[in-house]
Amino acid sequence: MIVRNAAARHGRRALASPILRSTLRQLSSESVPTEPAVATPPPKAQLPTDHIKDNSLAMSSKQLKMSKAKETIMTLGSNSTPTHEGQSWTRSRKIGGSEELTPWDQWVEFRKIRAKTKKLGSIVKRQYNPTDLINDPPRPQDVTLELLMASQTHMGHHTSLWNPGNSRYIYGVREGIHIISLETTAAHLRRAARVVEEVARCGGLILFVGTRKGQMEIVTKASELAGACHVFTKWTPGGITNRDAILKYATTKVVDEKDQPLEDFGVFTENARPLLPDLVVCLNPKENYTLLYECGLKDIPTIGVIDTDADPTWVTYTIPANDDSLRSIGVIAGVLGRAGERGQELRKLASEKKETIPWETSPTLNDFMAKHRRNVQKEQRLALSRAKDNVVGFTEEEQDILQSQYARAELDSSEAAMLESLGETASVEGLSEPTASAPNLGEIEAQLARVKAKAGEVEAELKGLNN
Amino acid sequence: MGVKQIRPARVYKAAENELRNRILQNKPIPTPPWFEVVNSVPPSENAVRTVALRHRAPSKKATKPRNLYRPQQITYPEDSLRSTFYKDHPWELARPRNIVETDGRDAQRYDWSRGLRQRGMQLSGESVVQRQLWLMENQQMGREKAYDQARREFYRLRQEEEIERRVALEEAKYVGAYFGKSRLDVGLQLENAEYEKWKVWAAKESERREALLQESRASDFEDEDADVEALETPGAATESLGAAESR
Amino acid sequence: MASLAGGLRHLRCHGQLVKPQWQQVLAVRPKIAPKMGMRQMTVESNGPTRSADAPASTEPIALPFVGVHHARQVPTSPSYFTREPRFNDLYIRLTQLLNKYHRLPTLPANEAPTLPWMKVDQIRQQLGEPVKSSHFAKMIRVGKRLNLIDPSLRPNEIDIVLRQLTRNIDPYVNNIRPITIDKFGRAIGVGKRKESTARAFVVEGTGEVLVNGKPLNEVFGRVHDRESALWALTATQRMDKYNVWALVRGGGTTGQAEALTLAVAKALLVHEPALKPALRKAGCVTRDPRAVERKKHGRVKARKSPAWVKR
Repeated sequence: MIVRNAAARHGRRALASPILRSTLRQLSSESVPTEPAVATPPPKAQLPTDHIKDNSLAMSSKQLKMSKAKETIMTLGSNSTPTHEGQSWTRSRKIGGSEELTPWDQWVEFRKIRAKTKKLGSIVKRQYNPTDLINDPPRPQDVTLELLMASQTHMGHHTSLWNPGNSRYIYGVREGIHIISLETTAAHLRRAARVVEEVARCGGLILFVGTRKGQMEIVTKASELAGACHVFTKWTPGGITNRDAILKYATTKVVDEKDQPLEDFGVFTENARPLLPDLVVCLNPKENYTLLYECGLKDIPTIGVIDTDADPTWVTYTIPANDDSLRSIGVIAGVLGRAGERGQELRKLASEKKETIPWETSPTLNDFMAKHRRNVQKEQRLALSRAKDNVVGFTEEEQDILQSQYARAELDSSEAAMLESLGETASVEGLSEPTASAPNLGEIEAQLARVKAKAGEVEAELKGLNN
Repeated sequence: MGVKQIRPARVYKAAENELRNRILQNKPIPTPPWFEVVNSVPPSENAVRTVALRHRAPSKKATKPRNLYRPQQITYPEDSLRSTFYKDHPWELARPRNIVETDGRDAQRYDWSRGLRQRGMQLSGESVVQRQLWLMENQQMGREKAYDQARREFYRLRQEEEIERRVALEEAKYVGAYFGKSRLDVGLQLENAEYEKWKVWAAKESERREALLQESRASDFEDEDADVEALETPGAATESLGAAESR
Repeated sequence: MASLAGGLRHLRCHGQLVKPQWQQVLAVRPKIAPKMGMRQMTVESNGPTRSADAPASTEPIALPFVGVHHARQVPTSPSYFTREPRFNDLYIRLTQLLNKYHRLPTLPANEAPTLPWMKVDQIRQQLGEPVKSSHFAKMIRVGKRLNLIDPSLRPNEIDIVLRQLTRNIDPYVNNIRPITIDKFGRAIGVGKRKESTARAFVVEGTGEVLVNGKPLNEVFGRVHDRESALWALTATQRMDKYNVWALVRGGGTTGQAEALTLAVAKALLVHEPALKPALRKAGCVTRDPRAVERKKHGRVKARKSPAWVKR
């Protein structure tokens, strides 16, 4: 297979930011080294780079380049801007002969000067900054054909590498590669965004998967926006079909409609089976066949970015686009992430209004709650009988001993209090008087009845459909 | 691996079936959160093969039905103009060029009636091609004529750029800028260094030869006869061999 | 068939609650504390625990899930579907910090403060996750880049995160303890070779040698081994001036013998430090780091290739 990643296809320039003015200035004219001006940080060109030179003695230039490439951390967020490195930044120096500036002072001074001089000169209005894709991804309504074109979503693979299943998405052939129809991409992207939004609104668990190099930030940002999960390393085969073994130690919690964690579910979260995603968004289906296959086995809908060499039948919702360019993937994942964000907002709004909560509690959780309640009631009854025994069992002497031992007035186990508590529990049991816990039971029953009624309706509808 | 899948497209059907045919009557089956959405926004059909988009009528030669499904070549009128220009000016390709688009609307902002210089675009072969196309379309010029005019404008602008750069360089040098060594200087320096190295090597080599020569002269005096014999006998042998062969 | 399986899923799911099918290695379940502690109210129970339990004793057991109408199960970490969720969370935190602070001035690599970086095994143990070493290497690279930021300019956040990547030790405190002669006149040397470990107790004496309580010729069958075990003494002609009592464990005879060489040499050096050059020349001071080379796939042994015939 021919390696066609972003760098190979678009060159490094596709990701690099335009050269800064200051760097250009340094490139064009290098002033004769004189004494540094007062409180002005020295230009970068003068910085001593001894440690680099030392390395170069031992290694050939090729090795040096390779080791440097190995050391650089490739991220969209931090690779696009120059850094301030070297000794002149990190040594305290005397300036003007009087005061000594510590690195901190130098840095503060530099920032002051930069803030002052930032607006000088010409201003480049439109410029491509890769970090913006992470910080402020586009919304579904921002998707235009121009944006998609500029982000290289239309570039497919070499014509010989195509999957004929994609012919409906392909606009034509240009310079030996297939060009994906931008209109199709936009339409499918909007459709997928709608699905993501709705699933997020209904409280579904979305999973963003992008396992290629450099996709980590894109994936994490999208999942952060959509309140979803992410996978940016190799998918562990069996994560869905063999989840009892693979996700054994992964922890879960139980939340209510306002996403506040609920208590008393410790036993449930420990014993329940691991979760399944409700929707999987895969940014590189070619490498994640196993994941998509598992999703198919478990009937989980999937959204996938389908390049011209990928198989469109692997996913439920296709987004025909270039999956090799980080910019293209950034736009697509950003749009989906924003859609998920919108869905979460809608869900929260609905939970505040309290009328229509768009999701239902799962039967397993309902069962657990009912069972746990029953157990507690049983315990209450037991405790009641025990308490009776105890009240009888204590003599006056024993009570005196207890009183003298626990002088902190912890003697709540006096007969009067005991009888009070007895009365309370008895009332709960008999349901004769309205107490704190009685209406809850009623509510639960009502809820169960409602659920049953709903299920009956669904059945009836389905029967109607069948007929 | 790599097989076509049918299950992903039938997710909704499968879930519907499951909900409909409840195997355990008293166990409620939860409706998945995506159920409604997938129903209202169904996935697109992709099992059926469609005829490829047609930019032009298929050629008469392509009679095989498979060509129906093959995407066609995309061509624009600029293509031939571009290839002509770069054939004539191959070194224009060597100039660095910015290919990153910002918002994709750059082409909408250019107005080729004003000439080659456009805001936000560096002067390159592309400007010539676009200008030529504009001239051909709007001024009803012939291809050659439009090319000549666009080219003339282009040369003039390039010349201007060149002069500007030279002047800027001179000004900067006048106020004390130093741009490092020129290519010529670097070449000369390298050559000089190599020459110096050669001089050292040559001195050593000549010394060595001198020494060798003197040694051989000294040894000549000592056993001249032995040397002469040693030199003569193999020669004589080969001569006799050669003579035998020739016979 | 698929729909049948799917329909049965919920039954299975319910069954899981009662009796989990999968093997539970860490079956740590929170025990619900007995809230009605009437029987516990004995004289034996001590003050503080009693005082903590006391209010619970009279309160009626509250019904759980009061006011819970909607509940759903969600993962605690967004990396739920990976095998290393906690590790991934840490890595994401690191990269976020790098993105935030990558403009701060950095020191040259050789001037950055040295930190005792965590090893893969340690982080695996700490997080309890099967962390891949390649992923760990990536994370350490980011950590090292963050460590380059000038300490005087470094925000507190970075220090806190870097503390998670470093071992909880001070490498400068870790000094070598010199061997001394104890009150019985013994010097104890430890030597290793291959899989064997030897401890030699060397005292001044008449040349008696006991290894694992046996004389030398019983322990080592080969003459070569016997020689090499005591080579430190033989080479310096101190055979008749010291007694050796040694314990050897592990490995084979050669390894044990050569481990003994090193142990004896080390102990001897305590008695006579001036012998060091002589012992070094004799090859007794250096630990031989060679060990069995690992077997490679596609080979029969470490290097032996499988038999191959052209035709």
